[in-house]
Amino acid sequence: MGGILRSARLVVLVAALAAPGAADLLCLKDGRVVEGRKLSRAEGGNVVVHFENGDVRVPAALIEDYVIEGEPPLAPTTPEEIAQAEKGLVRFEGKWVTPRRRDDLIAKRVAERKAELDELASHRLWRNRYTESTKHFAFEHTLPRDAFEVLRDLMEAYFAAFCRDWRIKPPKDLGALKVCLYHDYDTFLQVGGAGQGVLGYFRFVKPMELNFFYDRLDPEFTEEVMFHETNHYLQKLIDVDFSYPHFPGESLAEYYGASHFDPKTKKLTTGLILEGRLTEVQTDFQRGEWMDLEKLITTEMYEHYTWGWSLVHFLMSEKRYDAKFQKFFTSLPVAKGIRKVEMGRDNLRTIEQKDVLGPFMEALGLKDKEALGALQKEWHAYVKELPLVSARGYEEAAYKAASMYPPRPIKAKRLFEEALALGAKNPMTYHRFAELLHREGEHERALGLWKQAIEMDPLIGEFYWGMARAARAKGKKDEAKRLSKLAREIDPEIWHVDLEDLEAVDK
Amino acid sequence: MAIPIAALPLALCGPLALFLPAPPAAPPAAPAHPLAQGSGWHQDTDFGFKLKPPRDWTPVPLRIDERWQVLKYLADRPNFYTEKGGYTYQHKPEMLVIAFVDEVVRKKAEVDHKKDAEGDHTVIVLKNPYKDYLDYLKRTHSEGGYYVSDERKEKLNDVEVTCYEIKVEKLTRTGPKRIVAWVFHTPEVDFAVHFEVLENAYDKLERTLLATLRSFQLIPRTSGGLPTGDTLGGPRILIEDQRKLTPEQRKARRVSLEKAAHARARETMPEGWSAFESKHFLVLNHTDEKYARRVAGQADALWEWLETAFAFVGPDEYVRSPVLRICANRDEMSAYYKGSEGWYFVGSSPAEIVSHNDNSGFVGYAVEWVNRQVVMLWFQERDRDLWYAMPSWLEYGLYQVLGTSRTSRNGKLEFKPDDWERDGMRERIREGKAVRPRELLRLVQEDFASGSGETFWGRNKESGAFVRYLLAGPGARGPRSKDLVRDYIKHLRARITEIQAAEDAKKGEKEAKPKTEEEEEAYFKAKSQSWKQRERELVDQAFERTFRGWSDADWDELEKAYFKSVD
Repeated sequence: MGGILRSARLVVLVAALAAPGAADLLCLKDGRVVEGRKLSRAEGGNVVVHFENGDVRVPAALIEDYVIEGEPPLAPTTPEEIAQAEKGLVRFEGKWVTPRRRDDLIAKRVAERKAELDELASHRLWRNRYTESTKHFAFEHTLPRDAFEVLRDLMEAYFAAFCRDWRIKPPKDLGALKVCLYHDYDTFLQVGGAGQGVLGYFRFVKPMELNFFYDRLDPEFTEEVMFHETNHYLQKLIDVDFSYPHFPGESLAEYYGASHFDPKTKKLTTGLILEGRLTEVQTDFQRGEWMDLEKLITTEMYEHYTWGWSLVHFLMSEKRYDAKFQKFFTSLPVAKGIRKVEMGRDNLRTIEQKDVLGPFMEALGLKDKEALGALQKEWHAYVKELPLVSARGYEEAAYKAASMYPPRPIKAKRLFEEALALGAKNPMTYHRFAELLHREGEHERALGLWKQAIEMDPLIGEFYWGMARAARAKGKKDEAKRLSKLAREIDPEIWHVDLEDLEAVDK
Repeated sequence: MAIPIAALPLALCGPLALFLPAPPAAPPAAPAHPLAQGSGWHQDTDFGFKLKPPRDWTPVPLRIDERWQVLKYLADRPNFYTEKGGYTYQHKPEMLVIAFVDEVVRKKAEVDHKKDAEGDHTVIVLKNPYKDYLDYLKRTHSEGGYYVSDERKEKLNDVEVTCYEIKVEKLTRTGPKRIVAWVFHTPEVDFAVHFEVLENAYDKLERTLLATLRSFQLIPRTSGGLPTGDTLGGPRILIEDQRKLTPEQRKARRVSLEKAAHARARETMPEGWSAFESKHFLVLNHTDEKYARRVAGQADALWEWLETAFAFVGPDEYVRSPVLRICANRDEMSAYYKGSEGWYFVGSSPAEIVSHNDNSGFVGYAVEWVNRQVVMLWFQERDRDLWYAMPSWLEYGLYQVLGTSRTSRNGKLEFKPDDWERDGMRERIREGKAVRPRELLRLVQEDFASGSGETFWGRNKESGAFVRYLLAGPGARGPRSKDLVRDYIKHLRARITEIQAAEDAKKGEKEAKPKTEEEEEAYFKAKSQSWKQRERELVDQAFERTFRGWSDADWDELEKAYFKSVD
């Protein structure tokens, strides 16, 4: 196993409506909905979901709202309640009413709330998507309200800040850009039509459109993708008829991917460390593979997202180069002596990747290959010293160390420990660490980490599947079976084979 | 403008990966459906349904390994879509019927760990990739982003029906489309009748589509009955070391696969198709027979040429006789490909080559495609390890030269110069971009394929030109050059054998596990580089052994003659 799924796949938990508790409904703050399962209240505002193979306690912090149909009224406890009860009255919403009246009111309230929650759940279908327009964007989305509002405000602020920093005046007839936001990765792939592995895209021909998804377990990652893809649109504002070549277009977009916007001060901080990409660069040079600068600039390659990002980060961070790099970027559409290639749509033109080197060297003041080599040396030295800074960065580095061939479990364990020490809050971090430990035979510790992951988010089937394997490894076969069935109940779409199949393979 | 996730490391696959097609289960994988066509109705007495496809639409055969689709039709006339300020596309409406048999849907992956006379191996049969229609669509639809725009329940002839309207709007290949699918929920099977048409043509086609949907009826299952989880089979993946088998054992498996594929292809042949056998192919034809026989003759001639020119490659190996399917046109070929399973020769996939009549007078890519597939199949079955280990210059060179070969009127295979290759080469020579063969032959895959598309295609032309020079040009007559390709392949094979022997000798040896992070980093670095080093070493060794004793003057002479032949 060991394949880490995009967490957003594991979201809707729908069971047969004929099941007991069919009318109960639980909505989580991140938009997930549990229906068709019996619910009960627990202390501290928590709610217990009763699955056939076990009860799952959902913390109040995750819960938006819920409905428990036919819940018995609380027994009278105060003297006043006891006295009124003797008269055949009960308290409901601050008034003393007959039990029948109370039951009618409860049924009405339940129906109203259920209708509201149903409405909320129905908006996850793209045909019932929300639409909302702001000054520069026309949104269509299926996100929970709170998550959407953060992104909406962020994008407007980003637009303004980028135009200010790069001295761009958007064309007056530009109109609002259509932005499609999806509540999970699967929906993004299905409705957005992107291929597996793509995280977001900007359609740069008319009608222009931006598509990306909300990763509920990693909102920072969602922002990274938003900053990246929106940057492609902002790049177009420099010259709407020009399409930037892969480098520097994708690399600058990645540079802006690591940004932070403070809603209070309205300040956009750019040039942060894009730790996911940094870990890819680090993996390359740990393998002994250092990127050649000329090759990077003249060749179309995936590494524009990784090494290209690091180059832009280096140039934008160095006082000697930042203005020169910005000049290179903004003047590329009108670079002299370079053949422009018509793209056959919307009067768009571009330049070939191999032709980018000339304008780059000219703008950076590099007279010959020797100067280019010297810049490469500086860049490599800079990259070597770039640090990981957050739990998320350590977690990504750990995951890479654990999953790339050949795996480096010793390093991965250290990095996971550092991520945890820095206060990792993503349950997937615990899950991934547990997966590693399980593979290494440390089942007891893995089990503990899976339990911690479940405390953070108890409605991810993958965690129970992990626990099932750990239980099996410890010889607890019945518990393993129960947990694997519970995993399937929680996430009917879990793609792994069942425990029985796993045992068949091992025979 | 899209952010990709980095590709998975390829270190676990590569030239020496060993897979062998698993033999089909007995009886053959899936029963053919007794079909009755004519009088406007299509009847399936296995699944027990009938419906009236739109008039003038053409039945499209089901793929040999298809296990979910039970019926496929294509409209005769295309509809058109013009993008604002962009291109005009055409699309032919299509109809599919997909059957979700309850028992099959409930089945899970089945893993069979066998130990028999042929050795210890594991067979994985994947029986249930799809849960229902929407799941099927999610996993198989790849022509644009879609969403269910409407969904309602109806009852038709006492059968519960879920009616889906689906809009395909984003990143579509040929314009926005609409899918109308009705899923008929019958006691043991859910039948999805699915139409996909251009959105702008829907209003015009709506009555036709609805008439077909409303014509759906259940009929008695009077023939073989429904497939079950066992009889339906499923994609079978056999994991074992091919080299442990004898050529006879491999032959027995391939013959079994071949028979099953041929039988299935004939059984599922729709009305209007014809079949004939050529020397090496079972030809299924839906275009004019003269063209089909010419294509088959071409493929046979190329096969014979390979047998003669490379007789030393896997001489004891049996090459399956493929199904050569020639569709009426490109649309039909595309519709045929749209299936639920993979379509490579590896695994248990049938050996099948699909092409069409492109009305290009036998010079177009449709015939070249057949040639290339013949080359790939022949080499893969004769010596898969050798084929996967071929350096790019040789693989692309063979594709280019043999792909563009054509038979003359007397049936002889000819290797006339290819315009694309020759003109491109001349341009590269003029611009000083053409690399010398002694450099081309040293390129590993990363160097060959990296860079711009122009570089890649340029190297394709150079490879084609050089292999052509050696196999069919003046080089084929030169005393030092006439056997160079064959010698090179022999040396390559010899080196592969040495590597395999060395690896076999190491099997069972326990590698020391790194104990510290530093040791781990060093191990990671060494392993990461090992694949590239192995390829580098293979290319260098094959080169050194082939050109041992060649001086710069020898190379100068060869290259001078080669460039002269191109110019």
